[in-house]
Parts: sequence; structure tokens; C-alpha cells
Amino acid sequence: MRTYDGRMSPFSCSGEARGGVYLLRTSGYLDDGGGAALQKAVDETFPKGFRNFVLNFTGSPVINSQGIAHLIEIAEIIIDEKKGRLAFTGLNDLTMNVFKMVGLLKMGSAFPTEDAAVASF
Amino acid sequence: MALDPVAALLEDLSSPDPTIRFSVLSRIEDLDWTPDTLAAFKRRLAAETDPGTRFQMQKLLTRIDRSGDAGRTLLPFGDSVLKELEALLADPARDDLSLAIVIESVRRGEAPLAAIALREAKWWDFSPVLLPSVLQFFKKFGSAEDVGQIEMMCRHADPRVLASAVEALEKLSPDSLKELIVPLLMNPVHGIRSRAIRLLYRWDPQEAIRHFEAALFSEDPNDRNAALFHAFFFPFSEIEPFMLRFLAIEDAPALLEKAGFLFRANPAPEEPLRLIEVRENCRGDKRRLVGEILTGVIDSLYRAGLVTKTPEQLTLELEEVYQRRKARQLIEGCRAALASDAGDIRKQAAMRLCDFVRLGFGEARSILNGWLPNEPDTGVRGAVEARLAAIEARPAASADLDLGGMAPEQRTRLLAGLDSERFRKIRPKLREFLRTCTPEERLLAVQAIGRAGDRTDAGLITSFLGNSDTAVVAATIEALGNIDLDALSPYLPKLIQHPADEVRSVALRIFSLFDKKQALSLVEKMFSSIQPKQRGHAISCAAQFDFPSVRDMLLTSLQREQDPENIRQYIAIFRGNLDESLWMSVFEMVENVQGTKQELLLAFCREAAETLVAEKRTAHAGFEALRQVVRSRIEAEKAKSRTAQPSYALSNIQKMRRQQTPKPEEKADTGLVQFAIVAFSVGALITALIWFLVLAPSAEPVKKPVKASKKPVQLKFDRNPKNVTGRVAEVAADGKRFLLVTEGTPPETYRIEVGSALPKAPARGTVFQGQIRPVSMDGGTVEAQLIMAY
Repeated sequence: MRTYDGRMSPFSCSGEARGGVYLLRTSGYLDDGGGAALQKAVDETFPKGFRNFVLNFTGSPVINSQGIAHLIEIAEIIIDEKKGRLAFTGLNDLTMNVFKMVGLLKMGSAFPTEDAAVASF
Repeated sequence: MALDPVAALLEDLSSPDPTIRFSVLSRIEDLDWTPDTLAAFKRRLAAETDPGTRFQMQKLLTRIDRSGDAGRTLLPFGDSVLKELEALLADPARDDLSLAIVIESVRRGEAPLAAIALREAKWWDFSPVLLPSVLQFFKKFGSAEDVGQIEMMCRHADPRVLASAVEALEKLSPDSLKELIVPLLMNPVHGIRSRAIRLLYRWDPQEAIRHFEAALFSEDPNDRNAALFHAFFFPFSEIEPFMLRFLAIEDAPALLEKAGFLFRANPAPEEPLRLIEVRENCRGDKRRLVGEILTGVIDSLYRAGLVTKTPEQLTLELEEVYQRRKARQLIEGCRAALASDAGDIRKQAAMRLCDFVRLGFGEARSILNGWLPNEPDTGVRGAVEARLAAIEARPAASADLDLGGMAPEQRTRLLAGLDSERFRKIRPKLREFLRTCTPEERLLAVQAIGRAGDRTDAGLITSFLGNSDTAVVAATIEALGNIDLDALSPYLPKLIQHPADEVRSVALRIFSLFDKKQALSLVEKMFSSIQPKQRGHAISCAAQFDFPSVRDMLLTSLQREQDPENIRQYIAIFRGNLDESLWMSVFEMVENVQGTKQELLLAFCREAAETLVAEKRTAHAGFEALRQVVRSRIEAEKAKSRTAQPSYALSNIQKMRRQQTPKPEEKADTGLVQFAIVAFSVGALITALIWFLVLAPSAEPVKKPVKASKKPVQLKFDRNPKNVTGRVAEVAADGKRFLLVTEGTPPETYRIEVGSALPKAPARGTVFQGQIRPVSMDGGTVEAQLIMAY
């Protein structure tokens, strides 16, 4: 079990352009650190002109409250500041319910597959 | 992959809070629709009575219809949106639904002109059903010049408008909300209050958490629901202790499920053990639900990569760890009780330790070995030695199980160590044996039945609940609690009032499985005793509950406690439930007490700090570092208390709410209403009886004898609601009134008007119980109105 000197599962994210849409796949526990890493990854794509994003959480079956706080911030930046759009995929029963509870599904739609999410733009 | 967010969101449309229903609606607007979910949505619309929510639902349906299929909702107007908006704004006979749809269809490029058009049309005068759409528009496209009007909307009477305005202002000018926080916290709508707490967290996290805690444990389930709705916006580590206590005492399955999502989304390795403890103190559906949350958390731990063991391995391991930890905590409590001055307490503790010896806990044997030679009471020593000898003797062979033919010592040995197999062999002879055996043998036999028997054996021992030997009564409660709760439940109301402390403690623990909140309030009452011994029983009773439920109660009562024996008992419980936050709470007390109490608690804190560091359960280096943290916290609290409490402080808001709430006069006793609800859900008899016998406030003040005087004494007619029990003597022909004669001496007569509390008066000759409000006296008969019948 993890203790205070233990290590959580490492978080990583990778991205690729799909036409005008930028697809980001996360892997690992999306907590405060993971959320910050994802936010950084999104920020780095803006100078390249991307405004529409698909976030694939298949590799992050658990997203905690602080991770959710980062996701809300990311969504607000994409939608309100950058005037872009957002779609999610790879949500399981738990993350779907959490997204529903916190209103993230108001900011972006959920799709069963990456392709469906990309095609929605 | 099962992704049906629409169906899931539709469930939330049944929330009693209009702001939550409204919030749900805005979330489902852009989702995909299937014919099935669309049909479900239309059914919800048909049932929706709130005009504002209906409007939003109709708006959504219109958009879907205009899209031409049941696929995606559509923004159908393209470049013509601005023109259509201007046309609608200029038309005094416009349709609000169309205007709302057009406003929501405005695209970014047209937004500045649309904003000007809306301002010129004085959008703030629009109908309340339309305002949320306008405010959502300004949230996206508004500017500083809109802030003033939006602020005004933050005081709107319609909660949907208000919620949208708060959301818009949070985006455009969050600091403006600071001045609005008090009215928002005072708002009658739960969802608004809850959102205000979330906002407050930006400026004063500590105070916001206090508000959150108050909402989470509110008597009003809507408050609790709204608190959970916003709980995701607080760092989980800060609200975890409250959430755990919430799980422990909440009974509503829907709220428990919601809370479960928070635990599953925020898995921490230390959480499963806490959840096991909560689960072990629940029964029925709640036990199943908490078990599911536990499984979910373990699964999340594994999936998040926070543990390497599989969920199955971890579950097995944790269940074992929990059993050992709980046993260790109880053993520690017994060890502390062995130092008591009272022989009966020492004997009880030693006998309990003997039970642990039988279960294979070597530490219990070591404690007894160290204590026995110094025990001054030869009677106690002899009894414990005999029990130990019986437990440790070689079991009798199955062929030799003739209870009647055995020597007394052999019988004692057999009963003390009886296992399931040998129990089945002597089972046919037990009924007869229990009639003729000695009190010591009876006690052992009852314990054996609790250990090795089943539901069919309950009849053998139920009659011992009235036994004069309190140890037998306590053992019978324990045994029936293990083998047949239903057989025990009708007796609980009397047992929790038993004159013997040890009986009351055991009965209360079992009663908590039926109604935890009431059981906890009874334990709390025990803590207020002036007798240290009775408070000691309260502590040992609390020790049997799950720690999250009693944590605050223990810390509060420890502040008043001065008896060293009892303080040692507290420490035994704390040792078994140690974490950093508990350490800090105890150390805070150390800083404010003196003498023996300080010495005992300080010694515990030193030892506990070492444990926390050794087990890597704190990020701090040791005792000194932890002490520094607590001292800084105390200093900060002191500094804060020197300045005036902010207007939004929980205490101020609660005061203002109390002033605003009219004192209920004719309402049923709220405690009783709650109690009645529980009574119907867990077995009316036990809970209703407990209400009448134990918890109900006395209906009338005790009257002092009145001395004879020349002047007739005019007794004041008491119009306060009171509980009455009696037989229905007469029923009026119209069935709206009845005459009740109470059972007291002398009997009282009430003419009770049924009103809307019952469809018709109870039948003549039946026994009636209920709460009434006396209205007047008519001769010897009290005229009264029925508030509630039970």
C-alpha cells in the first residue's frame, strides 16, 4: 500500500493531431499532479492553432476531486477563452457519473470511441 | 461500452431542489438523444409541475424537434440569428421560448451586437423563465458593463435566475460575489446555499468547510443532498472525515450512493479499513451499500495504481487486519479497566480478556498473566483462574459429552471451550440443562449458544433477557445479536433502560444496528452522567461503535472528563484509531489541561507520534514537528477569535436563520416525526416504544405538590403539544372526533379532533397513541386537536 513516502502510479499523456482536432490520451491516476500535466499539455497546443480537443481517459480509470478541478479549468479555458470545443471519450461508469455530477458534460460531450469524438467536430 | 449519460442525468431530474433540476437540464442540452431517452424525457416533462423547469424542458424539446431528427440537437439559424434576435426583441407579442432558443444560438462573431441589442431591450426586465438563457449568454459573452445588472439578478426571487446570475458573475467578476455571500448563504433554496458555500471556499476555506459540515449533517435531507452535489468541488482530504461520518450515520440510500462516488473517485490506501469499520456497524441494505462502496474504493485503488495487490488479495488482507485491530482496541480497553478500583469492573474486563484468550489472542493471555498475581480480590482471581483453566483444558472427547454425568469442573471446561461440532452433540440436552444449571454454567452456555448456535436456538435463551443475573442478560443480548436479531428486537426498548450499565451498553450497541442516530444520542446522554463509572460505561459502549460515528462525541466528552481511569479508556480507543488528525485534536487538548489528565494525554501523544512516524502515516518528522503544527493552528485560531467574526461565519448565519424562521406552533414534534419515519422503516414497535419510554421530552412539567390555601389555585391550562396513550371510548358519528380515556391515574379524558392527521377516527375500544395539542377545557374533558397518530 502507498504510504507518505510511497509512489503513486505515474501519470502521462500523449497527443496527436487529427485534422483540426487535437487528441490527448491520458494514462494513470488523474489527481492534482496529473491534472496539472494535462493542463500543460493543452496549453502547449494553443500556439499551434488548435482550439478543438478530444480527451481520451481510457488510461485513467480514476479521476479524483483535484483532477476534476483541473479538468473544469481546462474546459473553461478551451470553451470560454479560446472559443474552442471539447469532447470526451474513454469514460467508465465511475468517471461518467462524476463528470455528470460536476457538470463537465455540460462543457463537452461524451462519446464511446475516439473516432466518434473526433467526428463530432 | 455503456454510455447513456442522458438516462443517468434524467434520474437527477427527480431532485426536489429546483436549482439542481435546472442545473441537470442545462447539462443535458448538448447530449445525443435516442428515441428511448427522448421518450423518457417527454414523460418527465409531462410530470414536471414547476413552470421554470417546464420552460427549460420545452425549450430543449423544441430544439431537438427543429433539428429534424432525434439525433443531435441543433442550432438551426446560422447567420440569420442576429436578425431574428433583433426582430423578436422588437416584437412585444414575442414568444419567450423562441427568444430563449435564439439567444442560445448566438455565435461568437455576432455576440457583441447581440449583447448591445439585449442591453437596449433592457433584458433585466424580461420574464423570469427567459432570464437564465440571457444570463448564460452574458456569462459567455458579457463584459464589465453587465456586472451591475447581473449583481441585481443575484438577489432575484427565482432560484433559477439567481443560480444563473451567480454563475455568470463568478465568471465575469468573482470578487463582486463577496458582498453577496451572506444573502446567498441565507437563501431558502438549498442548491443556492450549497453553491454559496462552494464560492466561499475561494475566500475563506476554513469557514466554507464549517458551512459544508453543517449542511452535510443538516436535519433537512435536501440540504444534505445539495451539500453532496457540491462536495466534488472541495479537496477530498479536507472533507473526508465528514464524509466518513456521513456514511456512518446516513440512512438514505440515494445519498449514500452519491457519497460513494466521492470515495471511489478519491481512493486513499487508508480508506478501506475505515469503510470496513463503518460497514461492520450496519445491517441490511445499508450494510450492502457500504460494502459496495468499499469494493469500489478497493477497485479504484488498484485501477489508479495506488496499490499493487489485486482487489481480492487486498480485501482478504484488510478484513483480517480490521478484525485484529478491533480486537486489539478492545483488549486495550480491558487492560485499562483492570486497573479499576471496582472489583466488578476488573472481573468483567478479565472475563472479556478470557474470551479473547479463547479466540487465540496471545496478548490477552499475557495481560492476564501479568495482572492475576496482583489482583487483591480472591473471588475475582479465583473466577478468572477457573475460566482460564476451563478454556485451556483439553476438550472432552465427543463420546464423553454427557452434561448431567460430568463433574462441575468438567462441565465448565466443556462449555467454555465449546465449538460447533460439540455444540451440535449437546444441543438436544441444553433446554433441560439450562433449567437446572448453576448461574456460572448458564452464563457459559449462553455464550456458547451465541458462538456456535443459530436462529433455531434463540428460543433456548430468550427468557434469560429477564434474568436477575445481569451478566447473563448481557450475554443473552450478545448471543441473540449474533444468532437472531429479530427475536431480540422487541425487547430492546426495555433493555436499553436496564438498571445495569453493562446490559444497557450491550443493548445500545445492538440497537444501533436498527437506528444509529437514536442510539448515538442515547450514548451521548450516558456521557453526561455525573458518575464516573457510568461515564466509563458510556466510553466502553462508544468503543463498540464505528469510530467515525463516535469520534467527535469522544473528543467532546474527553474535554470534560477528569477521571484517570476513564481517560485511560479513551486512550485505548484512540490508540486503535490513530491518525494524524486525531493526534492533533488530542494534542490541542493537552495544551489546555493540567495535572494527571495532561500527563496521561501527553504520554499518549508522544507514543502516538512515534507510531505515526514509524508507520509513515504522517508527513511530519516527529512529536516536535507535530506539536509545532498544532501550536501554529491554535495561534491562528486565537488571532482569528480576536478579530470580529465575519458576517458569513456559520454562527452568524445560523443566528440569522433562526431569527427568520417562525417558531413552529402546531407542527408535529420534529424529533418525533423523524423518529416515526424510522419506526416505520425498521420496525415500528421498537423505535416507537423507545421514543415514548426514553427519548420523548416530558409532555408536562413535573408539578410540585400544591399546598392547600384559602384561595383556589388556578392551574394554568397547558396548550403545549403532548403525547397521549389510551383507549378510544367513543367516536363521533361523522368520524371526525373521538373521546380518549388515558391509562394514567387518575385517567384523563380528551375529545380529539382528527383534522387532517388521520383519514378517520380510530375505532371504538382500540388503543390509541399520538401527539395532540390541547385547545380548551370543557368540564373535565380536554378539547384537543390531533397532530399525529403513531
